[in-house]
Amino acid sequence: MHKRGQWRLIVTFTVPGLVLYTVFVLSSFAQGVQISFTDWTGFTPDLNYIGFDNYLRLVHDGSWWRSVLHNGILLVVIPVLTLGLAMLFASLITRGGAGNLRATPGGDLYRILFFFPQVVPVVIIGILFSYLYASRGGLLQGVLDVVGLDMLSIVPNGPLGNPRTILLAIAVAAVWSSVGFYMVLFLSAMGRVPDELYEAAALDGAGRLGSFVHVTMPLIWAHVQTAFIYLAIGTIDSFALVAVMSQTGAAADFGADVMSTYLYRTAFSLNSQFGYAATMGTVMMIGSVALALVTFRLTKREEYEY
Amino acid sequence: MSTLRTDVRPARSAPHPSSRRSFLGLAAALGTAGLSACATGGAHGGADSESSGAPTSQDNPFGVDGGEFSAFVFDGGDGVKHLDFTQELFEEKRPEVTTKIVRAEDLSTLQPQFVNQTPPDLFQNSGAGSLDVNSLATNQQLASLDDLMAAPSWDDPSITVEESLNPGVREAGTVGDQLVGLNTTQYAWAIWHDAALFADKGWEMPRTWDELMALSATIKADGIYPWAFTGMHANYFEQGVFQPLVAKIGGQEVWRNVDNLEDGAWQQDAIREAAEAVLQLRTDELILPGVAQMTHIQSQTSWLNHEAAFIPVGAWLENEMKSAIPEGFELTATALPAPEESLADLTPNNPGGGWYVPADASNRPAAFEFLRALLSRESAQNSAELTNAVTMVKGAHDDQELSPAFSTITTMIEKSNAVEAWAPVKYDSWYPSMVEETRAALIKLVLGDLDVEGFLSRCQKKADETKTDDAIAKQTR
Repeated sequence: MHKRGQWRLIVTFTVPGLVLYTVFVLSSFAQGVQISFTDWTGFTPDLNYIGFDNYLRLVHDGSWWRSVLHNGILLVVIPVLTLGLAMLFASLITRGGAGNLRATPGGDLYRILFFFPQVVPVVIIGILFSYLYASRGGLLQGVLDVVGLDMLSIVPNGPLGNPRTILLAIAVAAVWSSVGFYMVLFLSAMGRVPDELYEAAALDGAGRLGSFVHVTMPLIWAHVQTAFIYLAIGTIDSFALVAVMSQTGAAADFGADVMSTYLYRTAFSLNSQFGYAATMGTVMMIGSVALALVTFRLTKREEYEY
Repeated sequence: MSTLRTDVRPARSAPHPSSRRSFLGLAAALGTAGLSACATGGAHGGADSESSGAPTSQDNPFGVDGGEFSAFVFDGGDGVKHLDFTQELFEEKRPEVTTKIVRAEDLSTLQPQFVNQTPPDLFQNSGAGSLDVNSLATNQQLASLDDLMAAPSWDDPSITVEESLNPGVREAGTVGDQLVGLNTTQYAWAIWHDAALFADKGWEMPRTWDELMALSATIKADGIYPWAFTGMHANYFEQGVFQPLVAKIGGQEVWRNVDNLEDGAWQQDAIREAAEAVLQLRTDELILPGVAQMTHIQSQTSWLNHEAAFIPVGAWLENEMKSAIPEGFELTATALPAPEESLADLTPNNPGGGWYVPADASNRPAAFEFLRALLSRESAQNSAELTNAVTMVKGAHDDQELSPAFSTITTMIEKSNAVEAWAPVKYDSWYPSMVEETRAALIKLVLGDLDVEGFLSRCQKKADETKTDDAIAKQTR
């Protein structure tokens, strides 16, 4: 049954959003794809089309594949550590007390503390961790001093100066900055799980671990899935943190150069190759969408109603 | 930093260029599309660039004839105050021109102006978000500055603008076979030490490489590391130590061969010997541990704390560290010690801080006239007073007593020019993807685990790739 004026209402509310989305998101993507088929320098009004040359070049570009590998490593390390820790903290806070059902004392305080890094801008986090890793006056060296260790003898040239450690050092900063957000996400999901289920599980003899694996996890799985995709897409980008902590990917023999930093340098410092950079952007976009689809497919589970 | 990118240009007044740029970068990473969308979609501005102008004369060499004049400069926070004086000077002489100087925190907003063909009449390409002038020049989007260089100078009409400048301006500003950039500031590289500390310890600044190595052993024995430099910005060690060392061993033509991508250029003896010499800094443990992950500010702070005796930085050091220099510290700039005494005073005194006039500029005569005013003695002295920067204007700072550090720089530059003119090494700006690789290799040689053979072959391999890559426009000098 259509009410009179219903369409007018729908159109009124959706059109402004659609227009903004089309102008600022879709048209940008479309132009990015268009520019990827040119040798545009970013300075001229004219575009010169060169077919698939940029894509062929990308396939043979060793620096690109090195960045892809780094993104791949981050794609495993960051989600696993972030979601693992977030889940651990969330379950410790909600069900960590003496009994199965009591919340941990001070749970609200932890919630605020863990969430805090989320309100710090990424750039500041990058600078903060750069100082934390500093060999002179850095927090890490300060802690090692207590046990009489020298950071530079464990990690030659320091975490951010060593090609073998710089990527991991940046991943740690990324995990630190986002664990709190996912913990809060999981907390709110866990809060919606009815207490009766835990009571029933407890009566059946399930311990803390048992009720987590058999009750909590299945019921908040949709959240985990969403979190993973969100984090994975962010990791494919991971521009700001890497750029700040590694001189836009060039530090420590390109040990942390990722796709987005290589793209950025290609466009802005390596002879203004905007066309080639747009090709990288297009491939990254396709990669992100593909990753999201694959993740959904792989993590699909039966949904529970409660 | 800047600095970090095109290279004669340091990160002065922009301590964290990457962080400033990263917001823009974020947009770029989300899709280079984002930026270009607005860029390509824009209206195409009018291209009636050549104004007919007034007749030219000795007093008005470019035929300035009123109208509006707009300049665009980077403002790192100090307000670029020295331009106020230049503007007054200019307006006094050409009151009919309406002048507008835009001071921006990021130069990348110039890019859409070029796409729309509505660029300003003049811009200084130094600071965050600076543009790739090689591409602009290759696209024919920059005006030739030959007329400016041939015009009579502001102070003395009997000599040309070019004759009123120190050597290197033409070489530094030439892309292809056209002079498009006017680099007005002397970004000379120096080896800095604290003269007070050296006097206290009875050390003398060495002039030869052997003396340097002998003194380094003494310094090390005293509990101070001889060397500090930033490993994060690889160009500091490259431009401050490696490039002059190679030039002092084998002559400046060694770098010309590298610039011209001659076959086997990186295998030249001078480069091999220099690589062996800097490798010894690592094997003798003469470098402050941890510099690999230090920014320029961190390494300079360590040096100011006497954790190291020498540091390679440009002439801007005093201005950059102003607030952190301890009482009694005597910043002293000298040229890198040389294997041969005869070249001991040679130092890379690259001109930097380039000014450019877009080909589409609507008031080119006014832009040229403004640059002429900028190169006046008064304007040069005023800029040195406000920013401690040595300008390219010949003799402008001879009688200026600013700071002891400033005097050591002008003396160093004078001595260097007396030996021979420094020809700016160009591959840094011509082939940025090559320099990225050779710098990474150099840092790995002095701080990591690369040997001389590995270093040379890695650089040569990249040079060969650059040579055969059709996508990279080739240049020669």
